[in-house]
Amino acid sequence: MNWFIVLVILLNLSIVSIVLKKFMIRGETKLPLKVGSLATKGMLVGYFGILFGFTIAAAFITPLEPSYDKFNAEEIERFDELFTKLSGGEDEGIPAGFLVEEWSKSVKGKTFKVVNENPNWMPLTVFIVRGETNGGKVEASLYKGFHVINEYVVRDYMDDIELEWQEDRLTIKGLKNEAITMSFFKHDFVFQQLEEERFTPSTAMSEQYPILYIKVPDSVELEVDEGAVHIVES
Amino acid sequence: MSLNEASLFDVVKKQIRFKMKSYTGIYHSLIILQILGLFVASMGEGSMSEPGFGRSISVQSFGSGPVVAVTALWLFINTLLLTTRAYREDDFTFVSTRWSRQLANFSFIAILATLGTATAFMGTNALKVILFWTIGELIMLNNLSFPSIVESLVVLFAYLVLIAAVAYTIGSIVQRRKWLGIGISLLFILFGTVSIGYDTTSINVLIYFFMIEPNFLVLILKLVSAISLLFLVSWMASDNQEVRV
Repeated sequence: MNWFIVLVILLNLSIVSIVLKKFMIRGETKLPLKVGSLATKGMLVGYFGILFGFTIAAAFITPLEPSYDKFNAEEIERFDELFTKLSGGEDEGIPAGFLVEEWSKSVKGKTFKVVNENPNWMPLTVFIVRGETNGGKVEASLYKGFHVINEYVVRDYMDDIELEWQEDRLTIKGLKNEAITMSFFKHDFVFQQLEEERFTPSTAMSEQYPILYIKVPDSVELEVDEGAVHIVES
Repeated sequence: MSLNEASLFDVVKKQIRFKMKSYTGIYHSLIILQILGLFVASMGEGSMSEPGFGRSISVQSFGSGPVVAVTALWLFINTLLLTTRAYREDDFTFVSTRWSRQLANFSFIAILATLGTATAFMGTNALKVILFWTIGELIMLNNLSFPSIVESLVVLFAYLVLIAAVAYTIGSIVQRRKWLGIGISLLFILFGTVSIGYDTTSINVLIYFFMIEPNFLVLILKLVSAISLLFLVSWMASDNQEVRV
């Protein structure tokens, strides 16, 4: 139960009882709950006063921006473009702003391993391209993803993604599984009816996994769970 | 025979004042229902969570719907009560006509709708503050500008008067022909059952006629027309009711 509501109810009851005490005419009937016209007026004024106080407080609270970013619809189009290009093995001319990190590592042995520490689940979209690379190195790029709930981007989404390079092995680390609570408030439809941009929950949800794009030279043997990654035919 | 000839305006004014002072239960029920609405609204309209893989995200949704809904319900019930015999007989304490009685009732309904609009709006703000206080970080899905708040309040007032007009018309018809009450109730149940899941039923078309109108002036025009029509029907239904029977 919401303790604050209880507090508000108690506050209201206190005001009502004070008003009753002040305005009640203690007649012969001795009905303490009989509310007269004056008492009602007092109750109504008290109720108005409380609500007005809240309204003043709300005027100061509402303009505060939450620490979540509002999602830009163009971003998803650009991400789709990025996804299409990378899934086709094309890493030139991709939309800017998505690249998080790049690596270029030499492989000492004959085999390069990609290991996922998350059991039964891959937190990234992994594209692996076989072909010629600069100096026979393994080249990898990490592109950011995002999770949108009700038009707001889930905070620190990329913080969960951790990659570890150890010689000839790339490990996708296990996620921390941190809990996040997002609370939303929307006005009644009457307050939205005249708005040009109405909130529609169905179009406000989206999750785009981060993309890990790896180029592995033909000369190196690749060891990976092929069911969890996409091998791009070049 | 009285030597004082009271004007219609004076009679209506006295009747409104009488109603406002006498029907105190209306205000009590408003306060109780709105506190109840706030309580329901503070529990949230829904929540979802994505547990399991990766980050578990819990999403809570809150809205001002329950506060507005209880206000509409309050006005509907109390307007319906205004048409009952007990309330009607109160009007005979004045030297009144059907015209003055109806005018006083319409004005009283408008006052109640104003009260409902103001308290529902302020109740919504109270809800916001309560949620900010208890939850901490509340994401506002639709921040309203001052002009849109004013427009929305006018629309809310008009919707409340429309709901009251529906109640008043139903009440007036039922008071005239009691059996119609059963018929109207059955009709509501029937329409309600049919309307669920179908967008093209006549009652849904009627609701959408108002609800999807984005233009402020057109919406107000539609609402005022519907309200006028309903009050005209109630006026006609209350014919010959100025005499105590």
